[in-house]
Amino acid sequence: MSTTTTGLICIALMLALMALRIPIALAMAVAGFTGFAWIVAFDPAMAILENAPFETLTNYNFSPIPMFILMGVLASRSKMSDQLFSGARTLFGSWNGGISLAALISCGIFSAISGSSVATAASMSRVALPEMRKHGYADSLATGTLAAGGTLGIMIPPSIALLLYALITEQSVGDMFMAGLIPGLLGLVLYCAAVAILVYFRPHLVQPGEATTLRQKLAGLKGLVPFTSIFLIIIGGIYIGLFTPTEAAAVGAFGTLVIAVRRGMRWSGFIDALQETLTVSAMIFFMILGAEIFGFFLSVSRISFELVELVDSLSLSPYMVLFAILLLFMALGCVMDSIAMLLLTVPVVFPLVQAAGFDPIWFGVIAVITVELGLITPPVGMNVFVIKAFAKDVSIGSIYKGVMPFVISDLVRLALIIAFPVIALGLV
Amino acid sequence: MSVLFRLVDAVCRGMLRLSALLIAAMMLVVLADVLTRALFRLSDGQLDLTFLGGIELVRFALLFAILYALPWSVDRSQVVVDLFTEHLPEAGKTLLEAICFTGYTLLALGMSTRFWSATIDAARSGETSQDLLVPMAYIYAATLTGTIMLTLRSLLVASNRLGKVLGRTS
Repeated sequence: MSTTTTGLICIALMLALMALRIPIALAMAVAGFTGFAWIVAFDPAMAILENAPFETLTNYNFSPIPMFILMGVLASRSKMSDQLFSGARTLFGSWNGGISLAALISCGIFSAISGSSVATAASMSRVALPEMRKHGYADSLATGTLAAGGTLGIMIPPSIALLLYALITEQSVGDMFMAGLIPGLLGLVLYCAAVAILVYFRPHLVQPGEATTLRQKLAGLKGLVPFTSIFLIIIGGIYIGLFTPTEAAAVGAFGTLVIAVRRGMRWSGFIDALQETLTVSAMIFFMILGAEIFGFFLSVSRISFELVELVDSLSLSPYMVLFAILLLFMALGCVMDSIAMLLLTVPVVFPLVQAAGFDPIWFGVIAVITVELGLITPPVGMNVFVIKAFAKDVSIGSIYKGVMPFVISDLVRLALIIAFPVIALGLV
Repeated sequence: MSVLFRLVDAVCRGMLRLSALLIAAMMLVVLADVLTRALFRLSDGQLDLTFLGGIELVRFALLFAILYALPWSVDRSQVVVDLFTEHLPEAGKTLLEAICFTGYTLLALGMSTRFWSATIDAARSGETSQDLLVPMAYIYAATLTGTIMLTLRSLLVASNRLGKVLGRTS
């Protein structure tokens, strides 16, 4: 049996295990170990069980992950979302659809610190959803805004998804973060535009908010300062070469801790935040370990090379290859967690992307946006379910209806970045 | 069995606390590294508080922080695709979980056997880490502790799930 056939059998085994509710991390590890033992031998496969965890967990480049997660957990636990939303609402609340805009802007800033789409959607829903409903916003718009706003975190740096993509494909994490900045902000602008267009054509979806004075607006602006400062220190520090991503993560986590302490967090709260950080980090590292073992197998199975040769023989244009990959991502995004999907698919498709001559950093941005779509599209749409937990009386169908304008604006953003790569590569 | 389960759970919870402190320590070591380097630059090299081994400390802190969190998190931090098994009866889902944790037991057992060999080899060769010159036998032995606890906890969770399927535990 050829190594490629063995490889395909093991990939089928992995997919079957995943379909049978076996955790993605374990499915990748089992398929990877079995495939490697089959193609090479049992003893070298056993050696992977030592090398993969030790090399991965002592890899300095992975150290920002728990610290960025800690930053997000501290932000969530100290209820920073309240201060953010209150500030943004004072600034934009009186505009037509202003509370939606305030929620989106708060989501953008909060997600930049938390780096987690689900945490952003949950934290912002707690404060913004009751306000929008109190002011007579249509359920679909209110819930759709928050479900979509949560997804901003996956692209606006520091983002765990961008960091993992950079590590898998051996790109510079700093460059990857810089590449994500403009597309992330563009996402926020397009989401705001979607709300503005929607309320222009369907004014009954919202009610006007209360006007605020200049003094109140300035006070609101003050509320945004701590969070934007942390964001600017992290991104500015990486951009001018003052910090490595690990250092930026430590500085950001410490800065967020200082804000959390000033907002009343005590020692026990800090310990709880650290333990929550570990639960989330363990989930990600379980998957990274599985992906590492699977990666050893992929390299001996030659599947990626065969795939490149197959695509070459089909004489497809590079953009056809790209669209095929994006369609695969969209399909998988409907049933799979975003981080898991990146860890699983990027090692397989990356040689194709390189062979097609695309910039790896640019492709990373495209890939992460596509993955992000999976968070708000049926049938899984993780963020939609998070919002549903806060708005039990709103039907899932109504929430999906509400996210549709944002899905369209994400597709517009994707098209813009494909057509104008400079949007992603301008700061690199 | 329940006494053993409680004992293993208590040890794993203790390891999670240690992991939490390691994450905090990791953050502080990196901060100290950044601050001492900044002071060195700002004072034109007059004030040199920089220290050797910062990167190694962070690497080992990451290793033990994550590894010691895995036993407690093995049944709490998993991502599954439940689209195809959503409508499976509860007993069926629990049986699949029992199979899953048996898989983790075998995986962690395989890791433990390898780290046992690595510990013995490192003790024989006297290998040390590059910057801090810590004997690698200690590092591997501490890693082995983590994988053994992962094996034990996965095994106990698997037997608990199997017991549920067979109606022996609630």
